[in-house]
Amino acid sequence: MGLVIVPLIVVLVFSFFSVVATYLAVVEKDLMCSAILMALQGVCYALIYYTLMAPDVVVAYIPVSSGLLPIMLLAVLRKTERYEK
Amino acid sequence: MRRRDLAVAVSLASLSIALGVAFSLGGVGVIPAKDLRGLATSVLENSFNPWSPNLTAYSLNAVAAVMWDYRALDTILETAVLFAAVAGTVTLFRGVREPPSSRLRGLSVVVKASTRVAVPLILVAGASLAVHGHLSPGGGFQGGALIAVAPALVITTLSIGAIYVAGVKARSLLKARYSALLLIALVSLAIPIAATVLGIRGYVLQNAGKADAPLSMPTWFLGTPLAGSVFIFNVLELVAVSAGLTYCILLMAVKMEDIESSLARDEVYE
Repeated sequence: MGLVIVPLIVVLVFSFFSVVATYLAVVEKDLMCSAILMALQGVCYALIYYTLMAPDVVVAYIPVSSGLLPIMLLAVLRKTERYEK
Repeated sequence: MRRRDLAVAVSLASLSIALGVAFSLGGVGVIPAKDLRGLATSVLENSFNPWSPNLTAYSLNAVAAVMWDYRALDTILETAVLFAAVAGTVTLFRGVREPPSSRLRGLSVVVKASTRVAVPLILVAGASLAVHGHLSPGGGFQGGALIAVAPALVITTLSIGAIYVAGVKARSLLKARYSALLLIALVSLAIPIAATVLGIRGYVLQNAGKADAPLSMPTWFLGTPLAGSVFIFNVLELVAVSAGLTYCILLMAVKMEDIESSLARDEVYE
């Protein structure tokens, strides 16, 4: 029984953190901070996948969500403005 | 302000505790299923089962077996989607040339030194994900995406000049990508072509030999299951995905003034 409850709690906690990170990424005016918060949300999702026994998805999700996506956003931000009006 | 600090501290502490718990029970799963559906049973029973030679893929990783053997056409279409995305990016940036030389700036010494340590580790991990894709979780796309993180990291911390100094050319990346995609198409057609030459039957994207189509990809290598086309497709997909994503990152990281100057030069030529 304990083995079934603990992973559920972990999934709940990381879903909570991912919702918080998503909200902060949407309202944040500093777009660089927003990109980093998106990476945090990706890490939370990856850990949820890991707990749900989907290691293949984790291995694809970590580089895309917390490696490539924030760096591409940073590269685009360099060409535009950092702060949202 | 003090309340805000307290909230940050509490959330950081609970985040670290949750991270520890999540890492300690990885793979335990939320709801271990008691009974499997028919499709899952058939995949689990057949993905590595040398005693049922008509259905097996000789791949210990059932996900890789589904991706490149049982449902290989879906994965080919997925590769086509990525092909279209990269082709769109290339079209968008047409006429942009790499600057002949560029100064090395970058971040502080600590960041640079840790990047120099991390980049070889990322490259090796990506290659191993793809090469072991048929034995453990991972595969071509995963390994390629992980490898593409390394140049992105180098561009952010050491500036884009370091990529040019290392000798990575955007044009050769594109060549590697297209030859890998061409090889994927050739490997998927290899068995039907060979079977036509020999006058027997063979299927497109066939991996192991069947009762009515005896030709087979290499299934064992030095006593290790090789999974035939699963391994070959994983390696080719690694090259295609890593080259394509690196090419996109290189184009996006070219400095604005370099883009403008190369476009202006083009107009002079016309």
